[in-house]
Amino acid sequence: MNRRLANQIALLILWISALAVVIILLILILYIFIKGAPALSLKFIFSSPEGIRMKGGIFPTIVATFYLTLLAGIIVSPIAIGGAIYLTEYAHEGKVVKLIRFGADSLASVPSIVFGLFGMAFFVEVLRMGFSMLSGALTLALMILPIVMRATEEAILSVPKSYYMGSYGLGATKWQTIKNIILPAASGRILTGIILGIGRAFGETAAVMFTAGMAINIPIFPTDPGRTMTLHLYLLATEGISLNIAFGTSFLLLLFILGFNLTARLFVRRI
Amino acid sequence: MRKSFHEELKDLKKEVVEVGKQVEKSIALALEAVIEGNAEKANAVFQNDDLIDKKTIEIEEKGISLVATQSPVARDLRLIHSVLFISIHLERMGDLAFNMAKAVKHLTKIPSERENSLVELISKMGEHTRQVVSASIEAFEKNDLKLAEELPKLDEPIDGLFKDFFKALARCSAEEHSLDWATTMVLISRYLERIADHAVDIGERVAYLVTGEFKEFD
Amino acid sequence: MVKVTFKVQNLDFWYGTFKALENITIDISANKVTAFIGPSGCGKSTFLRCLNRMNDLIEETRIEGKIFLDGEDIYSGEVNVADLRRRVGMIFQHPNPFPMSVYENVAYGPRIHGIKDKKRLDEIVEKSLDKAALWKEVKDKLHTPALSLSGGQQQRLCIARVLAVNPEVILMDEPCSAIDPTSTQKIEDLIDELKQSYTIIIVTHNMMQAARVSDFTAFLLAENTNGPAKLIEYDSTEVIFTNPKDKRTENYITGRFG
Repeated sequence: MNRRLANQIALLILWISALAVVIILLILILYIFIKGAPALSLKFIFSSPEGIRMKGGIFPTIVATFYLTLLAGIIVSPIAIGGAIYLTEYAHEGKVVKLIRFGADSLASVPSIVFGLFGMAFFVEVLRMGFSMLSGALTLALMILPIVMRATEEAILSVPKSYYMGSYGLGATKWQTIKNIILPAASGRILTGIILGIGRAFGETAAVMFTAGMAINIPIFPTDPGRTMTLHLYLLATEGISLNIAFGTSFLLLLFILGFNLTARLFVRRI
Repeated sequence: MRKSFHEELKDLKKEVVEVGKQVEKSIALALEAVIEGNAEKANAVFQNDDLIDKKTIEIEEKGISLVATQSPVARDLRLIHSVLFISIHLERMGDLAFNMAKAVKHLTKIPSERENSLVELISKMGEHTRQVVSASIEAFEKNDLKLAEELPKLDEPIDGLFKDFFKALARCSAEEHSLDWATTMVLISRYLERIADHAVDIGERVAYLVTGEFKEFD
Repeated sequence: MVKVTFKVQNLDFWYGTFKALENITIDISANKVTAFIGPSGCGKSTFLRCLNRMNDLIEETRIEGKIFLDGEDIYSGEVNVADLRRRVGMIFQHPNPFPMSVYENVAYGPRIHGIKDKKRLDEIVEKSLDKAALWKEVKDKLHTPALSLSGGQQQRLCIARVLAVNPEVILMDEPCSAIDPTSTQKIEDLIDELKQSYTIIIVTHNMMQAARVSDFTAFLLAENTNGPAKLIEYDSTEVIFTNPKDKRTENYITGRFG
């Protein structure tokens, strides 16, 4: 009788917590939806801000955001995958490997503003890249490198050992095995890692503020500066220019990030 | 599971030895029946033979089922193989004793003089045959290769006596003894000689069981 | 005279400080099936992996003694390990097709060894699948994922995959232990076919399987726990299973072990 009662109570508490999570999430989304939906329109998405009140659209910030994150993804992927392959396949498990892993894990928890400052000092100043898509993307790449690399490592480690055996048993070399068997088998999870990393970069403000600049223009070349959606949002809100547009931007941001996460899930499912 | 398999094998072997003892008993009874002209003892042989036949069939069935369910190999396989053969030999030996008993029944119906020299020879042959049979069963029971290999030697005097029997038969006068009586006695001596041959064959099986090699005794 | 494929002389093998195999000397005949039996963990698979140097992939292993494949010392410096593994194919305990199509699985081996011509590859794939007695079952689904095949089909696919690189020897490490009886039967029939063209060495837990498929049987046993395994007896399968010479072999195969 007592055990059954305890069971019931535990179940109730768990149920309430689960419900709380769902409700909080719903409230958040609903709030942003109600506040942001009125601002949303095709014009809002496809036109530039006008005048001091930033009326009109946010098109340049959308372009800058995608530009930066995609560029960061392109930069980070080969480095992260290469590093992960080295760590899992070639490096002998020892102090150096442990140090690299520890470094990567520590890097992952460094506040993004620190990356921003480093990016400004190194890419913008020392390498003279100025406020540009390239500076911003490099900084973002640096920031998400540990995430993508660790995810790739996990992806490679999750490939069954029997695949290696099968391939070596046929007379394949290590590189042939990695290239033809292991990476394809791990590709779903690696892609998921990259998408999660990009998602993180997508929502980033502090790291790009000092590296990509704040200029509202449509970046064409990597050397062009640009303002991301989050930064735009931050500036609109902190300087009290237009909360309406800020909420509209948030709503759109939310939709994009949701899209990223759903895509990432899709790849996990496929495995 | 395996342990009980080995227990079953042991039991199977014991049963064969048991049948062997029954066959020995049949032979002894049949022999006494011949020597004494005792029809009652002949009847006892008939009864005993039913028992032997029933038991040999049981042994065969058990052997087959062990082969089917336990996939025996090596010594186990050789044991089952030998058991099946030996039980067939034993069953034949029992049948021959049965035939002897039948001959005794027949003899009691013939009003004829008994020729003591022939009965004497039969009695001698019978003694030797019983020895060979008993030795063959002991060799099997104890996996005794040496004893098994000695069986042909034990069989030799029987073949000698069988020949003597014909010589003695030739000396008998046709008036005193009916042809029927004489031929029946010949048959009996022939049965004894065949029983001893089966015992030697059992020895060959024992040798295979122990060494794993087929070898014909001569 | 029967041709000897593998000549193993005084082979010792260590995992770190643990000696797993001791003084194994054995000649393995060409175009025959040689089975290795023995209690689990006695080093049968370790021995098998010495023959195509798969143990090289495990760190801190050491080997002493010689192994000759067609007269060539496979542990000498000049040997190309990748080529050795092509010549000495291996089938594993669990079917391990790659997560790609049936076709790609079989074509993988020839591709890594430099065959690119599509027509050649098609030919090799069909021939290999046919030899592995799988062609009829998969010819209409060559481009479906290999992992959608049944376990038994997957194992035959792995055999086809090995055949595609044209080996001389096929090592089989308990190839039927993860497979249902009907598929096991098919693979045993296949082994019988394959020995016409290949030397087959099989490790099996299933003694009756060794008895059914092999021409020669070797019995390995580690007499002390933590001690190395030695070759106790090696003879024709018929002799091993009807009249083994060594008491330890007899005890093992009749189940009177320990």
